[in-house]
Amino acid sequence: MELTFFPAIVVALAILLLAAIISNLIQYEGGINPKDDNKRRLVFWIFAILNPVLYWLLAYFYLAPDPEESRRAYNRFVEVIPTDMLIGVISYIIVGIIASKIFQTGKLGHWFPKKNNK
Amino acid sequence: MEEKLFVIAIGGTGMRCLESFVHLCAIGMFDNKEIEILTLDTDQANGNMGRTWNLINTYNQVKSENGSQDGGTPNTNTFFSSKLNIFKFFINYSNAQRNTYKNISKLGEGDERTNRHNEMISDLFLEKETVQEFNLVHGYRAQTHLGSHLMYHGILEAARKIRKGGELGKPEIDLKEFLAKLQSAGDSARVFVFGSVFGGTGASSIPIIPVAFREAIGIIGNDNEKFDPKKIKFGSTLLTEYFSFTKPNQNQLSEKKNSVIADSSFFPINSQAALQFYQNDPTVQSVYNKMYHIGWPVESKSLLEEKDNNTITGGSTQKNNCHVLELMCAAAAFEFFNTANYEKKDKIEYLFRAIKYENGIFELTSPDFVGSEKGDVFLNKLGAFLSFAHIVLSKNEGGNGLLGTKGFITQLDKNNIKDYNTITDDETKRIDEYLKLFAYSFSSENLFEQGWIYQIRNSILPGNFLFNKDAFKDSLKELRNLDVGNLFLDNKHNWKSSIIKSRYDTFITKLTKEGKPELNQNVNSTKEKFLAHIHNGIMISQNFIKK
Repeated sequence: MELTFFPAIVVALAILLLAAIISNLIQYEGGINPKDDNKRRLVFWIFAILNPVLYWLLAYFYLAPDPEESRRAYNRFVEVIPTDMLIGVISYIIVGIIASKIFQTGKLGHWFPKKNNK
Repeated sequence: MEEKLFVIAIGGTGMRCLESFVHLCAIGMFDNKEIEILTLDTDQANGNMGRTWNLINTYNQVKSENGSQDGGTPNTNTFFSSKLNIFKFFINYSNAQRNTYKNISKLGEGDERTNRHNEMISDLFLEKETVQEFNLVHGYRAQTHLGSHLMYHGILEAARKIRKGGELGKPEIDLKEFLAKLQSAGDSARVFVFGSVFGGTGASSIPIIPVAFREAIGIIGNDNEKFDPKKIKFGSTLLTEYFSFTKPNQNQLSEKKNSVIADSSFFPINSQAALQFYQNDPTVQSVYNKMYHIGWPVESKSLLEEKDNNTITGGSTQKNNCHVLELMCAAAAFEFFNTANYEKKDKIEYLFRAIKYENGIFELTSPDFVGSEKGDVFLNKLGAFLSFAHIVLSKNEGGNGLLGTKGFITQLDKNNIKDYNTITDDETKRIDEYLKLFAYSFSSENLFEQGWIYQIRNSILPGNFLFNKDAFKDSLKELRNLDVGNLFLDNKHNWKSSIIKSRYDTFITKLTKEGKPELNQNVNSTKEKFLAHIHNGIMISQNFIKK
């Protein structure tokens, strides 16, 4: 069995890293109603959407076997791309949640904030 | 035996010195101390006094739990770490029967022979048409001989009223409580007196206060319980002239009530005479331990804005800006209260310190205020509080009417630090209010209004005052974009930054990870914990080596 989803996870983690870097680059705002946390959340979800798109482009144009060499191998690969995309998205969100909980008092904590315990 | 600390502020200059002292308490220079403060004046409406009362009131509101007025508890190694108890005593000259020396002394109300003797002795010491008859409601107007006499008897008069019992006014109640605390502290009391020697009320009162209090305690209690000023450690400033104001004009002087007006051109002579007096007077020599000689070596600046060309003699309009010398006086009190285990000597000790002045510019460093041993401690604490003020007022726009502290708590909440969400909006407003008095604010017309530290810094321009010029920006746009972690002259104390993190971001990271209040800070209420948390975060970011 071929582990075709492995590249999807690698891509998801790479994109998550990029989202983390960009989220960290967004500076803390002052004032009674700062919007910096919303921006970080937005970055997280934009990259969550970009993740399958990027993986799809990568899979079709770079990772997929040459159909002229082996049509069967190509078809088999294309067939599992949606599943890999889904695995990539799930990995992205799960690792995102874990990172957010680990760094809950930092900027990544804004991806999944704790509910108010008032 | 733990020493009890007492501060007495007298007259307009004394009030401004007290203002600086309170700010030193706010930055945490008097850790874990409870300080009894007495304000003493004759001018009930004095603007400087009102401003100082408001400052102490706001300080106590910051420290009190919501709904309480108890002024909180002393803490360690945090902001607002001392507990301040304020007592207000003033001698009332506001009614027509008591508004001049002549009226108070009841000259002309006895039999003919007594009247003649009273008038002769009064005329011998006090000029008849002017000194005996000017309105005392704005103080003693540089007539220190009259002032000492009236202040001494004013205190004894209040003591007699207290002894007599019956319904007492608030000033008498406050004096009674203050004297009771002083008496119960006994030999463990350290008392520091703020006031000038060149003006009116302060100069009149400094020499007589210890003796007047001894007599007053004797009157209120009994002779056996008298306290002995010779055994108690008294300190004071010998603050000579450092500001000037408009010379009184003939129109103003022609009014009977204004027949005497202090003329600042005589302040240098007044100072010289006062210094000779302090040098030679046996009472002063025997009761005071330490006197800190503080003066201004260059021409005094005019600090008043007299729009109608009249001299402001007192009242609510007398709100002079603060001056660096007043901070020097507060630093003198710090030295006095922190000198360990010194014994009362027979002779007074005079202290002074020279500061660098080159090419018409003062170069003030932190050791100039508190000595080389404590210089870094002072700079660290003052810098931390200034950063705190800019976090609230500039970064979170509290100076511009928004809820600055609330904004910062919101930020902590968004960073999943929810411990401070129970602090009410009203409580955060009190913190904002204090920081505005400390640093700056904008009026409702968007005009910039200097707070204490801006005024202090302005008083030595074009010289340097401990921090870089960015720390004292005054336009709304510049303040909004101020880098609050970049205030020190020495870059090693500015907060660290990197390619991906601004100084402020680094601070928030340190605050959230390492700044939690510790047990030994003795902080109990949520607000105290919040202040300690910010304090710790800033202190870690400033990177001073702990001594």
